[in-house]
Amino acid sequence: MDKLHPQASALRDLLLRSFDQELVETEAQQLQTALRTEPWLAAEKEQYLLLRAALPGLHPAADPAFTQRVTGGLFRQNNRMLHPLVRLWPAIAVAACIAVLLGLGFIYSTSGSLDQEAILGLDQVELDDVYVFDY
Amino acid sequence: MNAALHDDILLQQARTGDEQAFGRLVGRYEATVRGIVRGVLGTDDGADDVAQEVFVKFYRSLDNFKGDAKLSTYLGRIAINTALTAVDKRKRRRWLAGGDAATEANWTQADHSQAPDRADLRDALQKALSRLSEDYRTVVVLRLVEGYSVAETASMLDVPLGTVASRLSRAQQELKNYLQPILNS
Repeated sequence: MDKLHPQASALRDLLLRSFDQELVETEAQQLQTALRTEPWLAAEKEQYLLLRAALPGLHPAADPAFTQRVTGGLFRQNNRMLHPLVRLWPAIAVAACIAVLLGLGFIYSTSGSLDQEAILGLDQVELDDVYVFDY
Repeated sequence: MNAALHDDILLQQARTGDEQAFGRLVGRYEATVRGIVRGVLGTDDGADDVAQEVFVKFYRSLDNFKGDAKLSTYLGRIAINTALTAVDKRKRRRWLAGGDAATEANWTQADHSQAPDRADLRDALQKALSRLSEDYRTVVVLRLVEGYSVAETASMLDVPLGTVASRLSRAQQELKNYLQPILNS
C-alpha cells in the first residue's frame, strides 16, 4: 500500500529521523499530518517503536565471573612482572652479552689471539714479573 | 553526575595500583563492553576473550585517559577498535584456511527465506542483527542496544552525525524487513 504513496520513502525517512533527532517545525508538522492521514505510516511507526523497545533487551546481563576472570588474569600477570629483575632480565642479558663481546674484542686487538692465556693475561707476563717467595 | 564522580575516584585509585578499584570499574562496564564486542563481531563466539582484551588495554592505558570524554565512551571506543581488529583477524584466518569469502558473504547477506516467524523475539533480533553489515550493526548496537547518544556514537566511530543517522535509518528498515512476521503478529 505504502509503495503506491508518492512520498512514502520521504515520509519513512522523516519518521525514522524523528526517533533520534528533533525535526524542524515544518518537518514535524508534515510528519504529524501524515501519521493522521496515512494508516500505513502509523502502522510502521508502531512496528519501529516495538523494534526499538526490544533492542535494549540484547544488552548482556552482568557477569561477575567475567569481572573476576579479567582482574584475576590481569593482576596475576602484573604481579609476575612486578619483580624488577624479572622485568629487566632481557635488558640485563643483552647488556652482559655486549660487555663480553667488547672485552673479547679488546683482548683480540691487543694480543692477537683469543686463547686461554690471552684471556687470562698470562701471555704478557715477563719472567721479571715473577716474584719468588723465599720462606 | 554522581556516577561520573565515582568513576573519577575509582580511576585515581586504580592508577595507584588499587586492584579493587579497577575491579569495580570492570564490574560497572563489563556488560556494556561485552555487548559492544558481541554486536560488532556479530556472534558470541570468542566475544568474551575480545572483551577481556579490551579491559587489559584499558588497564595499560589508564594514564592516557584524561577525562575529556565519559569513561563509557572511552571504553566504547577501545571496544569497537579491538572488536574490529578481531573481525579482520577472523576474516584473514578464514581466507587463509581456504578462501571462505562465501561464508562471510552468506553471514552478512539478507536471507528473507528464513524469516524468523516462530523464534522468540530476542533470538530473532540477534539473528536479524547478525545479518546486517558491520557498519549498520555497529551503529544499532551503540545507539539502540547500549543507549549511547547519536553524538557519542558518531564520536566513537569517528564519522559525522549525518552518517550515523543515515546508517541507523537504513539498519532499522532492514531489521524491520527481517522481523516482519514477528512484528506483524
